[in-house]
Amino acid sequence: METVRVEHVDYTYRTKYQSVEALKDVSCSFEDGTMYAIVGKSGSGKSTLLSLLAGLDLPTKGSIYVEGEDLKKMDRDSYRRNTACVVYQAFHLFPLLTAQENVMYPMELKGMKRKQAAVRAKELISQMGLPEKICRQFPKMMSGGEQQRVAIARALAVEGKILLADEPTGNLDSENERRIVEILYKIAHEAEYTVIVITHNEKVAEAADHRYQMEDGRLSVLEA
Amino acid sequence: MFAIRLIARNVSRHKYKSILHILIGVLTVLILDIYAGNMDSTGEQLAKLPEVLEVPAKISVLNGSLTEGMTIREDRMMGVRESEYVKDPVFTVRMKFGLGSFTVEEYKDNLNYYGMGINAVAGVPGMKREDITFLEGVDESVLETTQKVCILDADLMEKSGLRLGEDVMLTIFYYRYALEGSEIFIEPLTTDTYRIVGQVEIEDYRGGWVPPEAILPLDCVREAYHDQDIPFFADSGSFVVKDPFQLNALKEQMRYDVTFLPVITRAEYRYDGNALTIMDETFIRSAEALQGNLSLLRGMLPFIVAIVIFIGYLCSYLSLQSRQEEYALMRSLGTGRGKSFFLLFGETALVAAGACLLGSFTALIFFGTKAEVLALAGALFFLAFLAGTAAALLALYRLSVMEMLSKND
Repeated sequence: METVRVEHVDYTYRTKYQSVEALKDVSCSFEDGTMYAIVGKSGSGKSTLLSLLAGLDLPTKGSIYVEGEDLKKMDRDSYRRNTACVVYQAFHLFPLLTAQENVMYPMELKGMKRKQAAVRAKELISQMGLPEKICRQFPKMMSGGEQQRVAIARALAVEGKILLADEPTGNLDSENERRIVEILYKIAHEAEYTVIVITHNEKVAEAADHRYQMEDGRLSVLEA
Repeated sequence: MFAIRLIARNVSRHKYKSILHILIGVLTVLILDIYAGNMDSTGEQLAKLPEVLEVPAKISVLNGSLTEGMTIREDRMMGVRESEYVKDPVFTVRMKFGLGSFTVEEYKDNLNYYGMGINAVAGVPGMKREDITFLEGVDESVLETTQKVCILDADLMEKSGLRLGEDVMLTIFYYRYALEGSEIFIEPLTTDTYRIVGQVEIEDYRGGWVPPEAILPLDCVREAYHDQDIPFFADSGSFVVKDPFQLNALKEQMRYDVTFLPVITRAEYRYDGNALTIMDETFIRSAEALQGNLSLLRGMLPFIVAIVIFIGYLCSYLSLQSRQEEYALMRSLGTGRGKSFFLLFGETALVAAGACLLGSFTALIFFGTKAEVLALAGALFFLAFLAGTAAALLALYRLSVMEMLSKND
């Protein structure tokens, strides 16, 4: 079922001195239970598209529909709290919260009780194949792979429908890269998420069900 | 609950930053306490100045050479005594007297003593309340009445075999001053019976005349003048300015309503007590100095507030520099702008409140600063500091969340 539809989206960065067209007439759609990869060179507009899909910004032209509803008309904070979540290359965990507290954050933000959130956070961390002791550790005590898995657990704590990943394996070794790809694939196929991964890593792109190529702000289907 | 827990957790986990902010806050609060305390004590000194520095006024003759033994018109005396700007007015009238009843012709053998009519103990220079032994149930307030009573010199009482509580007949003569020139006449005033309500032994008499051997209430003597249709004149007068901050109103009243003139040193020598000298120089100088200090301190207030706002801004700005990513992350997880602002603002508010309490407590222990000053300085610090924080936080609104989260990638 179609989750996200992008229709003729343009995005222009405007500064005091110049304006840069980052996206040009981008149209595509994403379905649930599917993993997508968007590949392209640095500066091609991949991250811009991701930020628009995450509701962190709005297109200059065109529209993005999530389950048929125009993102422009939605409460975008609520959208990020309940529907879409993002995993970043640099993990971006709260540095002063433990792994468990990091995963609890989106749940507590939604109003879940602390005890309930703590139990669910432990489950999610365990689902990521991480040992229980990780729960009490702060991000700086964890390896890159562990941090990224905690970040994915936090994304799943949102209990949304869309998982957006911006170069999720960019800072990881090959073993951790393989694990993360497996996890993302499982999330798409077992949890029925729409997983959109931005990458320039061939192996990650190959694992996806569909691949798009982003070049100079234009999106094209790379392979069905 | 979640937000409060998160704020408390962040404050405790940002241990060193929090301690540093609290220290900066405590120092700022202490400086504010010293400043506000200074302002308060200066204001208090100014308010209490009239109690500490009384402004006395004295009636004299026009050229200022005489302050007793004058003729102060009754209407002028009453003008002073009834003025709302005057406190503790003291007037005296001098007289001569003899014991018992005698005629004018017999004065040489009988008119041997000096007496005074006064309305307050201070009327007799150097006499203190302790110098007088009053009859039981009587005190110095009797001098403010018209009762026919007297306080006699202890030696005179002993010599004459008189005792407290007894009645004594006195024949009183008054001083009449010539309208022109410097002649003084002594003429009969009254012969009456007075109850002895006190005996006096003046230890440290400081007057220019002979010390009085009988003291009568001023208004009792004044009534005797009235009974005999003799115009009454007081022979000395002084008072204290009730509210020195209303000096101008007092001066105006004394000049135009009571018709006192300022001292003119070149004026002719006369007995007429028609000049008034108000010794207000010290008071005015002190009040002006205090008012100057107070104005200076008040003038500094906007700068002090600006400095505290700047400190609050700087602390928050520097602290937020390393927390921009955290803010972006909160936003990317769906924390609304308002809630993100509240979470970061709450941390600063908690630290500022801690600094405020600690600083106020330190000021209370070490400087003994008053509670209301502490509250004022604390509130000023808290509000100004948070205003600075709010300004620093608003700058975060301009940052792009995605840019901030991608820059480390």
